[in-house]
Amino acid sequence: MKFGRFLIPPALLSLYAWKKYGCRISPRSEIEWSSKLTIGRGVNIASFCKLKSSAGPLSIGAGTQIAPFCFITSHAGGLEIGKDCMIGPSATIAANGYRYDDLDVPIRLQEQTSAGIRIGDNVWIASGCVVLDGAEIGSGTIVTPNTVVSGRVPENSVVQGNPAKVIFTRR
Amino acid sequence: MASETAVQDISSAVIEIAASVFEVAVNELCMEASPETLDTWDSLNHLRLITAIETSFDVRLPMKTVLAIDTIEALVEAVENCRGK
Repeated sequence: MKFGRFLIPPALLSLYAWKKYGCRISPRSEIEWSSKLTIGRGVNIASFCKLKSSAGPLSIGAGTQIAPFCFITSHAGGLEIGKDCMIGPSATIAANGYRYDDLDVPIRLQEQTSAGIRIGDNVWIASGCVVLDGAEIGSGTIVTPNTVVSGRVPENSVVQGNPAKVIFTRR
Repeated sequence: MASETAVQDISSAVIEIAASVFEVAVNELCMEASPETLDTWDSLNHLRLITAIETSFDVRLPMKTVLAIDTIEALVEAVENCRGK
């Protein structure tokens, strides 16, 4: 399902997404319906989530569930979330950063960077996690609460901490 | 006699590793220690313990066994069975 920018009330978009694609998107979530946003069938986005997709491609695979208060933002490097993922409450997934190599210029005015984020299928990102730009999370992985992921996580891992470390491998 | 000594070695090694993972003194742990008796034996430390045991004994426990382990004794048994195979 791809969207263009519409000046349509969120409730109508939610109804349309539900009727046509089986997506349950709360009208109380805040989603940038840009042409760079792709949402699969049966995606569930709860209330008070904020999704930004105007600066880069953002795709969410079929069956993925996003709990309340999540903040998800894509940038030039793109942000891919696979199928059947679960993203717990208050998780942050931000696919951009800032250069900070010029001491004379405020960081906010320096160039933005974006390597992109790739999240595989069937990944469970628990509540309060932060996934930073450049992260790659393999399919079947469990990211335990409040973990910060900035690098590569192998498939079927259970990771914890800041920075995320593999504490177990599912089998 | 030799196998009894081997079992004791495994038990004491498992207890040492568990004490390190759960951040308790070795003498606070017994074979009956379980998540019910040990505050720091939570779901994440359980996985950490299994990974530490697997690394230390160079074994790989099946997922069903991992989830069924509920005491130090059960863990020692699982390691013995795995090593016996």
